Amino acid sequence: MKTPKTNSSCRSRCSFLLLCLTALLVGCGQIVPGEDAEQSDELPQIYPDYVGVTVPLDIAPLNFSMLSDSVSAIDVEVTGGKGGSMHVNGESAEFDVDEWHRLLAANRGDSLSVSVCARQDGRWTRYRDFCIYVSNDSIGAWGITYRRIAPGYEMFGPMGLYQRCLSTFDEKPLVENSWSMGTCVNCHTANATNPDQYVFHARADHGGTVIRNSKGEAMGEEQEAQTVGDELEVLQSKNDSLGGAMVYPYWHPDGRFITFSTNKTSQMFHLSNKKRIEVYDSSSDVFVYDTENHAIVQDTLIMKRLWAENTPAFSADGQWLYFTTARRQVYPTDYDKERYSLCRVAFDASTGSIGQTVDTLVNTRLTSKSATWPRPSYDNRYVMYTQVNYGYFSIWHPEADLWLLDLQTGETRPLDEVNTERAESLHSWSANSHWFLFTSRRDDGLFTRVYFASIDEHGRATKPFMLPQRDPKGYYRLLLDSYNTPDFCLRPVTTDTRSVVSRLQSSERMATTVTRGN
Amino acid sequence: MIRYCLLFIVYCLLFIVFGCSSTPRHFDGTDEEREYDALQLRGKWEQIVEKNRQQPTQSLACRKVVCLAQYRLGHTDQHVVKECLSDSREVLTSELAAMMMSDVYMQLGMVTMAQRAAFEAMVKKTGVKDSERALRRLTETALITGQYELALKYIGIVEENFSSKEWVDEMRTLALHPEQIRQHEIFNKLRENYENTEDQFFL
Repeated sequence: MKTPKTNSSCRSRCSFLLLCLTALLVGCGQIVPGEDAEQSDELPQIYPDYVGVTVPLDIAPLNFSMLSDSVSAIDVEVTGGKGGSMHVNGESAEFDVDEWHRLLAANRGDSLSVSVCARQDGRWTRYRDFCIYVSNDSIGAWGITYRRIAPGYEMFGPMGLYQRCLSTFDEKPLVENSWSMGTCVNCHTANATNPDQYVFHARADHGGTVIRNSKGEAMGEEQEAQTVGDELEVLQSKNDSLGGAMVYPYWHPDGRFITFSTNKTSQMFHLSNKKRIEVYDSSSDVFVYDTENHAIVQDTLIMKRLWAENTPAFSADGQWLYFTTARRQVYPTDYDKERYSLCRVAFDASTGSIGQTVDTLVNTRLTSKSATWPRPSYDNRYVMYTQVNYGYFSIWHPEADLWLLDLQTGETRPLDEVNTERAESLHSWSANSHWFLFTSRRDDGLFTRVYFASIDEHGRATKPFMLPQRDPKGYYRLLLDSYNTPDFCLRPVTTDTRSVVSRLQSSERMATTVTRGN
Repeated sequence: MIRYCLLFIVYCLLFIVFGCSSTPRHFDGTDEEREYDALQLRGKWEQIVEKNRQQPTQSLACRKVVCLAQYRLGHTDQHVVKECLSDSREVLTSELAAMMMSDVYMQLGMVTMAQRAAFEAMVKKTGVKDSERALRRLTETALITGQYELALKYIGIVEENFSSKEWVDEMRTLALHPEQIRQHEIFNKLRENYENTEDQFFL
């Protein structure tokens, strides 16, 4: 039988709590800033750096910490220009998800003023307020997909393809290699961010190219999950006539064709250089794959013998096939002489054939640089690409920067608003082309993280912000994975994991045929 | 009361069955590799050469250790050792083999290759719990090659997962005050080697 609490036991408990609280206040200093907080003219150094960034309405809370580990507590007040406010304090600024979204919605097209007070060595300092701008534009995506993998060279351990909701912190695996006998999985690519159509590769013993090509009929989530298995195809990873595997994919907007490169990739390691590694292709070509009849359509115009064609992408209207091309070099002696130009050729989706003339949009003879990963915006206005000094595997090039080619004017320029002295690369557009994401090694020089920026009608980009996490400092500091080939995702990807795994584990593969274009 | 006692017994049994299996798993690799690794870590060069003489090793990683031992004993010159290390990819058969190679490279002053091998060992892990050796090596190579932010990241992970306070404090001081690396006998020597060696490629 439970004994009811007496008043005296309650009183003694209250006294004890009061004593503890007093001890805390005396021993650790004030837990909230008082009037005596020192005023600083400096902006707070926070992690991630969200000072002055522009965010879409639907982004998850921009939780942050002070950069310095010697800060023991922060007190943060966020005030909307159009109204509303939030107040948090503790070891880091962690905002309530729903409250954050209400504040953003109330301040659409305006800004949030963020006031930070930090306690260090028992003393509080109030920093200069900074703004977070709330865009009028939605990000136009439910979330993103990416591969998380330790940036290794030969060996690989746990890795997977994941999807992450952008308005919360929820991440779910699409495929993890622990489910599929330790194969390497990579290059998950949807058709213009639409998860009804995607492709990814699995390498090693049970390799194959997995394609989901749904017509996207409206159906319930449960029903959709059941049908996914039936819509999956696993292609043989290599075709002898092709001479290599399908590698970097990009969907044609009508969903019938996918362009791939095929690459014979090698790597070599520096003994003493600021760069660790060179990743290069001894050969590469570009081709178009027809999903309806499982045919690889080759064309000599994009498969020249002494040239390396690579990193293909279709324009959003489907009329152009962008790719990069470089004169092949001798490795390892001339490794830094292979420079790619950015080109395009017309594409006729009614016949699956390419045109007769190649346009050179960015010519390496003029730039003495190398262009890689062209990504046309979905409004047909721009092509964003990465520029490096040579080669194409940009993540290992600290000088890698994003460039923006204006298709209306033909002008191209570095996106200085987002570039740093570390590698920026692997960018993608949101479906509404108001936002783009990219990976950067700016955080610590090695591990790539995902950043987002918006672009205005004049092609000016806003200051990028890092993919939010519930506890970004703790998460990113301990994370030994890089984010690889991220892309926006219109809706959650519906996967039937068992079906994907069993297909990969079986030896059944869809054979491909090769047909010649020109 | 009896129910709680039974629960306690069940918990104890579960701990015995599953708790013990969750202790850090042994580095993978063969028994032979573990033996050679132990000898290398203790600098027992004569024993390594003798062991290989009695029964030539089948492991590529062990052969590299033998090459290093022969070099250490003055039986071969550095050129021959580097030649012996040319198949740097094939040797990476396991986490242990990768860490053994990292040690071999480090002893020969090939810091970037030591870094590469340690990284290979680390990525193969299923978690950081058994990565202390690789993380320490990655920290050292990051400090020597001037990647201080990266060094701090690795130090933070070691600090979070292992009890290595003395090592953590020493490395953190170097990462925050890189000018002190010049006063560090081993790191400074390796840094000079890294900065002054002509670049060449390893496949």
